[in-house]
Amino acid sequence: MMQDAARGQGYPATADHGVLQELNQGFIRSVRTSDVGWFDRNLAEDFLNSNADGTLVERAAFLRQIAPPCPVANLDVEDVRIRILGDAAIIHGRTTYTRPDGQAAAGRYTDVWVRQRGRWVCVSGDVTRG
Amino acid sequence: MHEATHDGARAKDLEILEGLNRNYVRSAEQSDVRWYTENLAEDFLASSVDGSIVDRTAFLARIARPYPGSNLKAVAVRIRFCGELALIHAGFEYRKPDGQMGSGRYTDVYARRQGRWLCVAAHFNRF
Repeated sequence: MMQDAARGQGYPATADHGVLQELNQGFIRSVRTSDVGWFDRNLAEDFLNSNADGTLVERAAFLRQIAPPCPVANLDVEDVRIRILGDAAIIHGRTTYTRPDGQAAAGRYTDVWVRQRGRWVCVSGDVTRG
Repeated sequence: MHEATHDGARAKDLEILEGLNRNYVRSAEQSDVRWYTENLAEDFLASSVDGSIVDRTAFLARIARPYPGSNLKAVAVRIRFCGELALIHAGFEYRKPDGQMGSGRYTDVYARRQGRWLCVAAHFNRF
């Protein structure tokens, strides 16, 4: 369940905050549904992702990685914290999901977004899987 | 000329961030709380391998404890600038207490505030 954890954390709700909240939901939904098109529209050209297995992949490799069916079920996000730092933003969140063996599990991620030509694009993701 | 000045400033920033990254790693192994006190932003948040997220105060308390290993070093360090932020992507290697080698990866985010680079976020995995 998405929670607006920014409230009460000292981060004011702004129009940018709402946009970033939507983008964060889109990111998780697109992992869940293998929506490569969404990532193609919203990742910066120089995007880098640190995977849970310790690999670091560039944009093209990340898009290939997203294309197959998501390896976990019931992927959801909670404890989302959105911090806007000028024309950059950092999103921290906790993921919950079900492993292929049926066990419930949780992870965490940190995404960095920057405003480029008036649009927020994701420049970095780092994923921990529990 | 302006471009040359810009390139010079960027090279200087890169040198500063390389130093900050070296000291971040050194201070983790040496439990150097003072270095972190001086170089973490007040709103710093760290996402850890156990899935927790901790603020500056809790992170400093964690750093004060002895590092669970030795010979910690960063590898494959990539530093890039995104506006007023700098992102450091790197792997790390260390020797576990049982003598085995361990590794991990981290992403640190620095922001320039009042002319200084301060770390505002860290995310790390250990394998």
